[in-house]
Amino acid sequence: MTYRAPLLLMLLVLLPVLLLGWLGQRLQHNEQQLVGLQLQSLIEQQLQSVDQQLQTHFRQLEAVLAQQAQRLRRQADPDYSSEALRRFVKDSVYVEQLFVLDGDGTGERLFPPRFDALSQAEQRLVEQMQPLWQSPDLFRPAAADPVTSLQQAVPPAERRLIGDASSYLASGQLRAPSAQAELALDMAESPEAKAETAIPPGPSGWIAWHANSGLMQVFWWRDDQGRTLGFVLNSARLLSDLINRLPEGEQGDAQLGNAEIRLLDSRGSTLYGWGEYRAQGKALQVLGLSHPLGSWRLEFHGPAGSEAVAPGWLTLGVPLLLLALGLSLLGYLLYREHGRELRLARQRVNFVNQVSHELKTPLTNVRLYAEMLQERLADDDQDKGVLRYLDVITGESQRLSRLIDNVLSFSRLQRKQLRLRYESADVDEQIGRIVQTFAPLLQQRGIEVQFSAGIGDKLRYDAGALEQILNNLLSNCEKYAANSGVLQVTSWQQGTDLCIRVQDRGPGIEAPEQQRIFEPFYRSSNKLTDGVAGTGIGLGLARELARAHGGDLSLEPGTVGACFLIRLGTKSEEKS
Amino acid sequence: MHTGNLHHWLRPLLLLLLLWLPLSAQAREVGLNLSLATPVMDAGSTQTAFIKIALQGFEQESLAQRTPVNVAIVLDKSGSMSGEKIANAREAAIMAIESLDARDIVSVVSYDSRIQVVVPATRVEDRESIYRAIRRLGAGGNTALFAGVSKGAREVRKFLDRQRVNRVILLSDGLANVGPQSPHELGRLGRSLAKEGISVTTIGLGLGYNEDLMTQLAGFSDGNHAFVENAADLERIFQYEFGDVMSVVAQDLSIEIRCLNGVRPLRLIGRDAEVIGDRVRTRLSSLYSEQEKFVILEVEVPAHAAGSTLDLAEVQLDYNHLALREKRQLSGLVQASFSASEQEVQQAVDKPALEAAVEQVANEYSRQALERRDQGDIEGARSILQKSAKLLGAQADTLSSPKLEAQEAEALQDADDISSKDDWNRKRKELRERQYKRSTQQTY
Repeated sequence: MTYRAPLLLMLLVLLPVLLLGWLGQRLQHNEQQLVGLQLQSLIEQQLQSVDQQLQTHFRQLEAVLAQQAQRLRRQADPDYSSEALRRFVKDSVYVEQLFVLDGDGTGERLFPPRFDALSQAEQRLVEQMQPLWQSPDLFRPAAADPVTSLQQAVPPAERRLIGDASSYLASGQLRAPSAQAELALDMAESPEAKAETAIPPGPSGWIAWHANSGLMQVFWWRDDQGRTLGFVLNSARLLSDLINRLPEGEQGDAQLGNAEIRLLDSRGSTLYGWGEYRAQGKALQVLGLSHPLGSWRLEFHGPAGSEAVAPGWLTLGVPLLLLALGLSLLGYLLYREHGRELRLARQRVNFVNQVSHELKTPLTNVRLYAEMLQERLADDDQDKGVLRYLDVITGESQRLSRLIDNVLSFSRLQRKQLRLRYESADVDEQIGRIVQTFAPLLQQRGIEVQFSAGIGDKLRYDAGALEQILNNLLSNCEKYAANSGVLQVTSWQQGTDLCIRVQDRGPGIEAPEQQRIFEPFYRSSNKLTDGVAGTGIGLGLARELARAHGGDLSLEPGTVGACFLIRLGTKSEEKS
Repeated sequence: MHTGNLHHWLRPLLLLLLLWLPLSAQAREVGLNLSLATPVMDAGSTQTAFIKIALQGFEQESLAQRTPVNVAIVLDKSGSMSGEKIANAREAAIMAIESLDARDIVSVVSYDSRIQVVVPATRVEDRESIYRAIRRLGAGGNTALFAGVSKGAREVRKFLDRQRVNRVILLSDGLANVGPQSPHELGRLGRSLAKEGISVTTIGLGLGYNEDLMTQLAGFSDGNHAFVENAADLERIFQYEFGDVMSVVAQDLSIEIRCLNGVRPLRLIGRDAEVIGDRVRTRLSSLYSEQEKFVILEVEVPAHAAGSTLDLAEVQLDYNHLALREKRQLSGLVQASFSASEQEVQQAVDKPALEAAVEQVANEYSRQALERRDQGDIEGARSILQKSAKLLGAQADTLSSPKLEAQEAEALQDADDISSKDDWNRKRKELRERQYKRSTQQTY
């Protein structure tokens, strides 16, 4: 019992701290996840923009190549001359080899010529490309091909770009200025091109072709007669141009901060990297590049997010610690206050106890001598007035000693020092005596006691306890049920229990109060009882005594007045 | 020595002379000298012959009138360059830039695992700030060679002009380990750059670099290549290189040879060429003042009767004349006559042409030997070199050529070196450098 208060206080401190800690942690965790997600999407965006940059190169290259293809087509009359195609290959910076396929469904190759002598490079091309030429399906503008579809989606804009390379500058897309110059250079070689009549652009697209020498990018373009021109790019030059589009040095560092983006090829080896971060390890994010660099990917490397946790714990931990300290202090103060109150209350009870004890001895003497005086004077024929005075003295001293008994018993119950004394006695005789004692008092208040004894035997029980219970019930009747007529007291034995019913015909007890009347210090405060004196411990004490005696005191439901049932456990006679 | 049937072989020579005379009269012009190693051939049998196509650079009038240059210096600053090496490289670059002036454009790119444009393409006007930027270079990291060359080329491209000498000078001391690293891929990049008019000179420093990669990159773009074992020599090499760059008189020299009358081209020795049927095409990026560059074409000549004359090939040279800032075209014809007399054939031999042809053939043997050695066949490699030495020795005697004699000694030395395991790395680099210089007639 003594640990309850500190335990409660500890709970009071711990619960909110734990709750707040948990909530804070959850919040922080969520926030971290959110930040992580934001970071991820930021990285994703960054990688996407790099991919976009590389795509821009392909789009520009495509424009240049398409234009060159048109020029070749114009030169063809109507067949492409090997001479012109070879001259083109010889001078083209981007294109390593060129092939032309027939359009009449056979897909036969027109260039490199099938029946003339070939250079070594052309022979190699034929070996590498043979399987590609045999699968004409690849030369279709696929919807999945972002480059082609983009071109088809916005043909006018694209055509404008083809016609005027300088308009790239105005289009505001990201690119290295040198790439601009270099692409323009190739176009500048054909000043006559614009003067000639334009041939409507045919379908075109990119093919990423894996030959034994690695990945080859092929740009194909179909002319108005259905023939397909295939431009096999110089892959080293392509990579070089792509790298030139990507940032370097301080520019890259400034753009990325402490991170690194790497461009990797299909074999997973790094082709190029930029940014400050140098450590090896797993990539935070990987993005596959768009067609025609489909097998390549971008990797984002950077310090893992765990470093941000430590300061987070600090920001959460310090307020929690402060809160716990504050609450503990508060709890301690409350506990001390509570302890003081408790001590004070105990002192008061002790005081009342002491006083009651002190009162008991003189009161016993007063009663004893008053009764002796009464007996002595009763023999002599004395003045009636003197006898009446003596009756009052005796009665009041008896009431006072009952009150003191109640107080002492109550205090013993509180301290668990109540010890029952089982003695063999005649129950009916004792009840009768008590009722007899109360009879004159009750008679004065207009109550007539009828006692019907039903035990007629000696039982082992605590006579003091029973007397105190009955005293309390009867004095309650005297207080609350004045002028109610008959008060019925019945006793009987039920098994080993002795039962006594006390039933008056007074105003009774109202339903809401039926439970509360047994609580200590509760006093029913309706108008009928106003002006009635009492300590408020009587009924409660009576019930506690009955319960200590292995029984109970209960209020019986009834129609008229209040009806109490006393039930006490008895011990068998043989035991003594 | 002059005999009666002199006119048999004199005719083609005279014809050549006639072609050449108007050219030499106009001194500021590239000379196209065509010669046949064996102007008189054995009649009645199919045989091979060597045609030497020599390009003679005219003399630059003065340094003041030289062609402006547009150079990107690409410096390796990977971890292996730390200390002495990077310091020497910095100083060499600064010394080299010192010789440029305000006409010229220079840029400096450095690379480790990252690329840094130290000096973006700029005119050489504010020298101090260029030098300051170069002096800040420190070493550390990996070797992203491909990207370094790419960005260097990009800097050159910013002011790309066919009337300038456009060049990337790459210095590396280690193996490329970020990005493409095969000689093949770098060669293809070089080829693409050459088409734009950019040549790449590669300087290998120390014993750690990949000589195949460096020679391929230089070879396909027709730049120079040098193996510098000691970093202290860098300054000298940079000065040679810049001397070369500043003495370019002609650029974009493209040679087209058409074999006539059933003559079949076999190979163009020592240089990258495109052979389609009876046509051979090759390209040289630049020709330096007073320098002779040549290519040797080996052809198969069908049998002809004695006394007849045959047009073997037609040669056309297109080039960009830098002093005149215009495109020029030259052409010539190679003829042979046939004789039944062994003596006549021997006497008619064009010594310089044959000497050059033998030099290149032996050089080709040397390449083959290296290839064998790489495959692990040391014995085979040695026997090839011995064969080469024998050829050189025989020809040195008949032509009484000290040059071939020296080359024979070299071949014999190589035959010894190639079988030893010690120091092979350095020997290989030397050998590659020598082969490269010989086949491109590098000036230094």
